[in-house]
Amino acid sequence: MSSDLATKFAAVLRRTDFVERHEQAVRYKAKKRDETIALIPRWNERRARAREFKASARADLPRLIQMFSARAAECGVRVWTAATAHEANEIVLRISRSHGVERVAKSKSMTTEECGLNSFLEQHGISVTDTDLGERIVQMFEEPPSHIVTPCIHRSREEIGELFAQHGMCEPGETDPTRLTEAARRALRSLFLGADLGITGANFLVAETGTVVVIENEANSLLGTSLSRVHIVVAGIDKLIERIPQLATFLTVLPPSSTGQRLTTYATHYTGPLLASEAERAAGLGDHELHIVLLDNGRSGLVGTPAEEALACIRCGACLNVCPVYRRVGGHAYDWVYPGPIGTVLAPGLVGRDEWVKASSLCGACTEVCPVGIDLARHIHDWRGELRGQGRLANPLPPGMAFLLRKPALWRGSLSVLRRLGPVAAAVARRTRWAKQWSAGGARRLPEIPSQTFRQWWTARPAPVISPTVVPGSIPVPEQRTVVETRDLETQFVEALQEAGGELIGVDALPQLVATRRAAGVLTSLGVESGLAPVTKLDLDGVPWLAATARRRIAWPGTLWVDFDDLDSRAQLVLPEGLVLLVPAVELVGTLDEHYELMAADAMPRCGTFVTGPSKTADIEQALVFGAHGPRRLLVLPLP
Amino acid sequence: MQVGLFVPCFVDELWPRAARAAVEVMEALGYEPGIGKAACCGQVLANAGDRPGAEAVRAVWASDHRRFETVLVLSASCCGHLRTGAPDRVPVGQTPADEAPRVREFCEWLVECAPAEFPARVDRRLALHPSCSALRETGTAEATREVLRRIPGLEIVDPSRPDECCGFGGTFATEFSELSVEMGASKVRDLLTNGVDGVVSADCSCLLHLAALAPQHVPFFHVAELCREAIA
Repeated sequence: MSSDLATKFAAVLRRTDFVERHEQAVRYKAKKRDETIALIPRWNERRARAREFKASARADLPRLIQMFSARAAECGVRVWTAATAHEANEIVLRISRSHGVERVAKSKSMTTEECGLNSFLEQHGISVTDTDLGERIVQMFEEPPSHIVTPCIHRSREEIGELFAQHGMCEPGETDPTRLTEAARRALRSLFLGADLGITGANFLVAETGTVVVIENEANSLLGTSLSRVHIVVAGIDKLIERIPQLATFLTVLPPSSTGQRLTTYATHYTGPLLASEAERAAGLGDHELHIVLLDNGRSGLVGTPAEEALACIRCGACLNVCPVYRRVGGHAYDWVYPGPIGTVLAPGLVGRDEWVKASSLCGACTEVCPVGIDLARHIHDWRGELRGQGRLANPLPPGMAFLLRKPALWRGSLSVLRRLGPVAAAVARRTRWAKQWSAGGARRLPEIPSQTFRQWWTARPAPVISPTVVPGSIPVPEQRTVVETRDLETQFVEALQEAGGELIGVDALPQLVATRRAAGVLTSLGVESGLAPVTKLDLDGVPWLAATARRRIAWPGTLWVDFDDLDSRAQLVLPEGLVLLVPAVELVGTLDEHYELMAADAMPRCGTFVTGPSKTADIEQALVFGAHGPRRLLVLPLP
Repeated sequence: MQVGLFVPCFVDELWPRAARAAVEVMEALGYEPGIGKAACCGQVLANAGDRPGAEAVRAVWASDHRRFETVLVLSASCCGHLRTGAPDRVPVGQTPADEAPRVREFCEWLVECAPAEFPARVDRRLALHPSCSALRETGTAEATREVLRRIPGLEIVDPSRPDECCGFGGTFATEFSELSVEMGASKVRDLLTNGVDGVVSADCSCLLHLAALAPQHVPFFHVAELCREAIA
């Protein structure tokens, strides 16, 4: 009598090796999250603020869509709206055809997975390569991602090694994550250099400036959008927020919840298409083109349902990582792009998957970790009521139970009759489907029935004489946990930079390098000679060290803000093997909040990114490898 | 002074010793337990999606318990349901709301009334299972720990993953029985390490499920049962 879903889950559970490995991998992610969150002061205040920003954006969505579209258009962006996944796919195809696109470099985007964009474009003769390492691995396996942040978390290094060997990317038997990552880097580099179009999703769309924010670790997204002249962003309308300073809150809560990092390696702000620099024009390169496809695909229909609040989701995956069901069965058991608690809340409203809402013990672990305060367990609970009310869910309880529980005397009377029938009733009870399901083939014993209920004892006992025999003690005051940072900003910055894989250096330690025009000027004033860095992708590929300038350091995440206007081409940031960032030492602030306040006070830089350590990945069995697609090392030189 | 004591349906039928112990502990502290007629709080129906049924049962419960100023609930999950009609999770950035101050989880009340040290020793080494409801709905897991701390001789051992669900979850236990059993078995393994003699919790629903999966000789206790022993 088990449901299809229960049968499917039970089948996964029998693959004990998989379950054990998957659970361990997902638990590790949850642990990393906990460790980083413990370092963040006023965590709950930040969650509450993130929740509030999303709620007010939702309440004002039509205005925000309008504002975003107008601002983006002013910056030279072409904004499209798509009511359905099919419309979005058609739009992307139309843009691709108008540019004669043959090869697409696509970075990780759950929204395009939701649309089935890859297979749509492939059907129309356009080759799409997923460039995020984990996504590339599942694409080569010809399967969907199983986790919204770590797509191949269900695969072992042995399986990945075998896959790469079959494709001639490495020697058979290779299982080392560093060497496997290196093999993927080599294979994908030529693809980046030859791609005609870069497709990304978006983490945030900022209405007041028309800015798209994309976070990533590997540099594949930046490579895809910098090396091809056309960039298409496909993003759900739920990604809209109103103001730039709100990004400080979101970027403080998202990466720790997602990967346990203080900040991802890159958090790129695209405000308008990239315009060619003088050096690029001199090299015969033109301006880039930026298209943004705003996707609804059922999202506005969720308003007024138990999934409404889930529109605040920032796709961090924290709810998956703590879910006792997801941990065991993995993402593929759900058979949809969004698994786990967030998928369970979205599924009835978006794709009519109703059965999932039953697959939860309502333990609330998801609610507890959600960085934007979505009460996922509550919404799963509420869906049950909603769907039962609509006749879309069957009653899982014995018939008549709801009636009897309303009539306490009748309820107890019926049970006492069963009790009196003793062994006969027990034998019958054991044959019911509830007893069989409880027993799960003998794994769980049926409860022993006590000879007397509490009430029988209560009614039969003589009236007690009540006088206190013990004296009350005092009430304990619970300890409040607070995080107070007392060290200076320089120390904090260095610690966080090193944690992210970056290195702080002095002038003496500068390697032989080429530099951007701006950086070369700075180096000359320090008495350091450097060659000018090239701007075209073919010349930049394989450059050992390139120096560029950053505007500011931010201590908490150990990051640097790089304004794209300071580069001669965006590719200079991600194609070299090693990157040196020169930054005025005094430009150091504590938190992302302070950074965005300063940014709002200046004119908003058109385009830029945070750089937090070298390019990295942990897609293969969570093993951290530097140099996924971009620079393998990051050196930071503060300037007096 | 009379204080209401609500003994949930399944505790009445399947774990009556917890309720008997709770009565005796209250009496030893000088309180007169008031027992209403209502059988159920309605949570089982609400979790099964039966909104009208759950509301009707809750209404019966409410009118039955109106005469008490305070009602103690012998289950954190029933208590959570009674406070809001659904899992009452603490809103982000806030402390648990006192929406219905009359409804209190047993340990939450007991921690204010229990002696700084119970008179009798209970020489046991037990694993503490704080239920999801106590941790995340009623916020009473610390109260449970504090009550147990006051029992001389009792040694409490924390499992390595105290905040993980035991896999009961009401109808989840039967509808997804293999998953529920797998979660429970892993919880039992985690609880029964470090040479403990048994398990203690403030939620009988978790206890019923876990006891059905553990070796038969391992004792499982509700907190009230240990307090009862510590009073004798």
